[in-house]
Amino acid sequence: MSVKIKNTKNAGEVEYISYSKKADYKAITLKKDGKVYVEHKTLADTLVKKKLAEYAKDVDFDIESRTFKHIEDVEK
Amino acid sequence: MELNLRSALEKNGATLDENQIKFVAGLETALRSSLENNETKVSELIKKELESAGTNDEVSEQLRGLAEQMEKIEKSSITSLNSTQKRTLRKEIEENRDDIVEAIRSGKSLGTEDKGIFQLRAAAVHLDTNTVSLGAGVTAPLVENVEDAPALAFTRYPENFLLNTVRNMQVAKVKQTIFKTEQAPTEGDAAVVAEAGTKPLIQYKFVKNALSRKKYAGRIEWSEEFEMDNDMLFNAIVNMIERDVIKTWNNGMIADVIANAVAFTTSPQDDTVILPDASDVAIVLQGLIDAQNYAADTVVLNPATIVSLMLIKKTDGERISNPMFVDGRLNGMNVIASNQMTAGQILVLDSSIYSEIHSDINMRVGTYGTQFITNENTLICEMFSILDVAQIDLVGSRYGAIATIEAALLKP
Repeated sequence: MSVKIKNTKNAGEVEYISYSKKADYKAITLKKDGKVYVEHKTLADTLVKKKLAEYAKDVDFDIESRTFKHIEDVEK
Repeated sequence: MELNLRSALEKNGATLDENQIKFVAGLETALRSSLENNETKVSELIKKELESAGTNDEVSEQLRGLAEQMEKIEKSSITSLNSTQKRTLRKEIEENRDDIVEAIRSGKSLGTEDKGIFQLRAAAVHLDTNTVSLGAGVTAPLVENVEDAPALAFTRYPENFLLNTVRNMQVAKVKQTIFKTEQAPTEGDAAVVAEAGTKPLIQYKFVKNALSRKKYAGRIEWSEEFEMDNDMLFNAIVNMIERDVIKTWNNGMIADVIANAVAFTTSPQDDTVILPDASDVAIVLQGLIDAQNYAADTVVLNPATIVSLMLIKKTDGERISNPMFVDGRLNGMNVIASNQMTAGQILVLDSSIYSEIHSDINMRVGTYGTQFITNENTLICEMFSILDVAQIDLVGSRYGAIATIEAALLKP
């Protein structure tokens, strides 16, 4: 027999995570080694919240494009 | 003021030929005169000397030869620049790079504008006079009892591992584009239906993505004399350009796999692992991939990271063996040690999500421009490749910094 808990409140929405835009990433300085890392904002925010890292100031970065293109991006 | 450029160069092991001696002497005279009169900037003097130092070809050749010898001297000397000098040098090189490289490559005039003379090393036509040079302190033999070693020593490069990991095939013509039709989220779902109940409507949807072909290529140029006078070296250089195009192709594919890999965001093991290390990170990434119904089978690490994993000991020196990392496999995944992986980074993937299609390596010899009348040749080496992967499958590969993922996993 299996049981299932029924939600009595809002079940919430599925969260889709984007990985392809520069805005999806943040530069942080990891306190453990003092190095700057560019991480997905989910991880970056988590580490900053846990006081294991700080947001790195004056750091710019590029996100390398992936190999595939959406069909509308293909040159005719 | 005492100034003897030639003596200084030779004292440090440089061997100057006749043209280089003339050039250095002219530059030395002009510099001495200027320093005595304190009139002109050194850079202007060098520029002036360049403009008056014979033909452009000769100047380029002299400078290239000098630059090569200076590099050897620098390597064998202890030189220290202060931070201001380094900044100035870097700025000069950056500002003038394109002009200087073009001047050296084409043999055209250098210094007609207010430009410096930095960055004199650039690819050029292989000539008898510019391809092989004597090492610092080495002179032509004066006795018979010498040997010219028959084997050349080459720079070592990381092994091309990706083609041992990813399915690949060679074809005559690589398609310009591969259109991938990929499943998109389905509308509706099958369900248990009661008697006389209405069956749920299901609509399957798809999206088309495209992958483009890439060309990896390079070329060499050489004079008739160079080929005639350097049989072994010329054959080696032809092999080397083929090797280097293959290396670039392999590196390009690895860069694409890394760019495609999904970044770490969070995992069920966050805040639960005591003293996490790279093997823990690999297993967590494997778990994330497997949770998407893929089967991670490959871990790529820098050799330094793997060495660190093998040197874990207790405080009394007793070695701690990692039961998850046995016989080159980490929890069932093949571990690849490659210097193509940046130290401190990790790539974990289900290698079956990728396949690769490539052409043969195409090498052709011909001439362009004035090469026919100057007895020069060009060899082009090229190949085409397309790395096939579906966007939907990219969750089957993960890439990230070990230190930050360890921080996320660390049990407080």
